[in-house]
Amino acid sequence: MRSGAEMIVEALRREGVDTVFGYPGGAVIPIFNALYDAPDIRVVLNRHEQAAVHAADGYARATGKVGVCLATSGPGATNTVTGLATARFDSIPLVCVTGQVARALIGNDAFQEADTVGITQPVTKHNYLVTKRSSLGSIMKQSFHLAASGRPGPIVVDVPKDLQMELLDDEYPDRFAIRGYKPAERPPLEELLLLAGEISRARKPLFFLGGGMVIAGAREPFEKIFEATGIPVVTSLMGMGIVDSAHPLNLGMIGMHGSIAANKALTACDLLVGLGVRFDDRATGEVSRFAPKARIAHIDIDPTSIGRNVKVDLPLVGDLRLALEDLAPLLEPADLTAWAGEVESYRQYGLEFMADTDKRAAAANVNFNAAGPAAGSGAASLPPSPREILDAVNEIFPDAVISTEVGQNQMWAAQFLKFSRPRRWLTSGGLGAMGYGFPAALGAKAGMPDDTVVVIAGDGSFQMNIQELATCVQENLPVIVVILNNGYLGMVRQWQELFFERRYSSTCLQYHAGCPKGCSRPGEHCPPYSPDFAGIARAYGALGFSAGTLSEFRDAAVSARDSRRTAVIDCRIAREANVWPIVAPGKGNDQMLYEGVPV
Amino acid sequence: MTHVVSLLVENHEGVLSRIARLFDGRGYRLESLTTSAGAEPETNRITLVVSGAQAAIDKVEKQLDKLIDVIQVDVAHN
Repeated sequence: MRSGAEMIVEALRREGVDTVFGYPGGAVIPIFNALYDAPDIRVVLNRHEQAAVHAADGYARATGKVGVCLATSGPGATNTVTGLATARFDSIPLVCVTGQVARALIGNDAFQEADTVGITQPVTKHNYLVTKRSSLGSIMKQSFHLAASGRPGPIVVDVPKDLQMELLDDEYPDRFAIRGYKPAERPPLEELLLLAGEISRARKPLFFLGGGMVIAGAREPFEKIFEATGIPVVTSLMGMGIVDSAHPLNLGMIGMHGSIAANKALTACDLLVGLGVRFDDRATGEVSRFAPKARIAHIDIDPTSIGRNVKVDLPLVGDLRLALEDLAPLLEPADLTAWAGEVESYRQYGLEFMADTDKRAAAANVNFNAAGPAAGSGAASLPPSPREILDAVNEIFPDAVISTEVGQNQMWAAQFLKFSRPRRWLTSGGLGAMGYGFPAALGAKAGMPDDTVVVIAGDGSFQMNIQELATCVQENLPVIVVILNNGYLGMVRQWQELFFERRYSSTCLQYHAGCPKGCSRPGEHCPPYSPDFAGIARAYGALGFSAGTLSEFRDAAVSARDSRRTAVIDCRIAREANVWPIVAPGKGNDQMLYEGVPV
Repeated sequence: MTHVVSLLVENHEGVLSRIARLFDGRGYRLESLTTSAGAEPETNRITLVVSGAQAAIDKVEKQLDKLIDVIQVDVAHN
């Protein structure tokens, strides 16, 4: 005989789960009690349920396995919502087990009761309220299958407390059937032949890679196609790491903060082949100006992702790895020399444009931009630019797992960090959840203990899950947090500067009640910054560093790396540094601004 | 334009709310909804009559098909 709680632990074991992220409460004590007897399953005690879900998400993104988290009923379950929505948006496989009040109390407004299935329905791939002890095993089995297969996503299993304690003589099932669930596999050959024909006829073809490429494990078949055809590549925010950042045919990210070369190639191409992307509005910009000369082909496993934002001429539904394996032998070699030359000219144009503009801005002493003081300007005592810090991160932490928060820090990281393989880039793309990066990093560390894990954070978002310093230190999950600290909610401040007449409403984190109302001019008069992040880190038992210059940052980063401990490096940057280029809202990707200058 | 959406679904808790949610805020009007036991065991037959543009109904058809508890979707246009 085993209890429901023991069946859940048996399910975890049979599904190969080695780590669970969770937070106990009254309605899940039986499950934690069963885990107490499971030496083969590590239970990481986060300090907030939201962080537990993000940690399971980071674990899943870094390892490719299903992440598992555990929360209690009521507030425990409602705290998971942001984590679940993040995972659903970015297609991350999670199984989240929540406790529920006893079956007899459901609907009675019992203590710590919430309609978890109702609340989490829109933010999960699927969810279950378990009402019969006999169905618990098959629901757990189905949940792991649903989470990982097709377009992956989070599954919630809501388990009433009395059911967790109900005994039954049953086994974890080996098999199951879900009548209404048949994820796509290979696209039909005739559709792939059409695509191959489009590709061979195109004179300016372009691949657009997204997170689906990472999820499908489609890098290998893609590399064959990429090498054989020499077709250039642009990516979404989520598509980094499939092609080495340093490859000359990888033009980088498109869209609002994409590279000049990528957006120009996108605008010029005559065939755009989207692979595992969603054509998200931040990537497309104004849709009527998106790839205006191109026919668009799109392969995705989720038919509802196709044709949602942009009109697709050739839609293919299928698993990307299988689709690309089948596509590779159908492709004819084509001469793309002219197109490769054009693309290279966009790259050169972008680099020169940025260098010239930076030089002029530095000479005019305009506020420091992402590029910062031009090299050789002798400004060693000035705050480092985000690019200088991130260049140093590339050098000091090569091949690290990078997790980001959301906002300017995320966009700078996307622009300047280098990746040579998938599953090294963890970022909340679709939902854009501040507070994601730090707990996701500790989850990644739990899954990849031999790898270095670095968080790129802002001073705003780090404070959304700062309590996880305790988890990192006490669970021995050392990660390095780099705070790009500008004393602002920087991305919103940037929009206020550019689109709201510099009215810095509620975005200054250095604000004090004594400040003049409506201040939009940071300077010497500003009150001292609080909190002292280095001091907070030390209070939790981590290492804390404060850096005001590039050399101080480098010294701190090297010390942090060599210590193998959790470390926070609070790095002050220019307060009004902006992310450039930007495609303003409502504009097309061909209408980029760099430091306010049309590109 | 009205459309008759006929669904074969698992007789699971919450299936009706999953389906109804897809029609929220997307510009359709629900004219009628009926549900009955399906031909196969543990299934239900749900029939909805909705009015809305053809393009919108095509999208919701794919969304319905994506629901784990929906076994089959048929749409007839009037």
